[in-house]
Amino acid sequence: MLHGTYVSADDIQTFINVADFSETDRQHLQDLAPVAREFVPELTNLFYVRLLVDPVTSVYIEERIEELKPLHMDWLMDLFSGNYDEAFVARQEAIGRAHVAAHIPAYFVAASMAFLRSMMPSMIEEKSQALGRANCGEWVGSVLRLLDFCQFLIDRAYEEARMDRLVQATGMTRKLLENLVMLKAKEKKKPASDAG
Amino acid sequence: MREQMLKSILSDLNGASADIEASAVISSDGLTMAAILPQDVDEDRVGAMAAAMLSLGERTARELARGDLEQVMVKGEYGYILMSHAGKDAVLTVIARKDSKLGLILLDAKRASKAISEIL
Ligand code: HEM
Repeated sequence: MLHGTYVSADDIQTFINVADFSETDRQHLQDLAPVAREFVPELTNLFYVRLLVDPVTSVYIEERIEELKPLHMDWLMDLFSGNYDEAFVARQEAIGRAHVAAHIPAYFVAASMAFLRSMMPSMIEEKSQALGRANCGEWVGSVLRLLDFCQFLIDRAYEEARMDRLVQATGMTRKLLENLVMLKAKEKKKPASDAG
Repeated sequence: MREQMLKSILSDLNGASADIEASAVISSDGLTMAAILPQDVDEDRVGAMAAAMLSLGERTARELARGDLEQVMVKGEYGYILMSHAGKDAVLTVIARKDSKLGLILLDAKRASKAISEIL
């Protein structure tokens, strides 16, 4: 069974089950690769335009766009490889770690994932028609499932990387930090008038 | 068995001075190994907090070049909480009254820590 550095095989399997990500989805994604090749450069440009027009996000990338674009295009094409093995999982986790190290808030990543999700359906539809493969338009669900899976892995890597930093900063063991996180909120004493 | 032995050390410690109100042995992960605490105290919370305090104390002492940590002391309006290592992986927490003779309590705590570390 597939597992990650931070995510257990059971958790991944549950995600796959609940998202209903099947062999058919894997096949659809692989079959979409030629379509993806058509829209990935444009989508990547739009992705960075969105990040550049917002002054909050632009500071993180403005001097690195040309270096980041090919990395992002590779990541997008990787979604259509049809191979979602442990190395794929590890790559998503590494992306999470890279963003933590670059001090990029997790919600930026979530927001840009939302942007990708919003853009993909029409781009897939349009490019599959142009390639004479109209049926591919229906396969967008497979892409959205995989994007959510990637975000889940990236988010977990974020969480773990932050915990690792806390371990380093405080000297507390990982288990102690987990215990602190899991402590139940202290029950408030009921005022006497509430009793009975 | 081990818990019984730890409890007996804590019981001796609590009996050694009327100033000591309660005490506990906690793992460095924050789990309570043995405790003689008032009934309304949540062992899980105290355990996690004491272990966290000791870790932070250790880090701070090192950061500010104060050498190896000996103890962390918290003083509140109603008394003291003392935390010290009991061996490498455990923390002894002692809760003492407001006007305690701290020197004596520290000595008793040191003795108890040594006994605890020999068991663990
Ligand atoms: C869907 C969301 C995102 C994806 C899939 C993504 C993808 C990637 C990939 C694949 C890399 C290369 C990682 C590596 O070298 O291992 C990367 C690096 C980077 N990304 Fe993103 N990214 C996303 C969102 C963002 C956002 C929102 C920002 C900032 C506003 C950003 C800024 C950066 C930066 C600065 C690096 C370079 C990190 C370093 O110094 O190594 N990314 N990203």
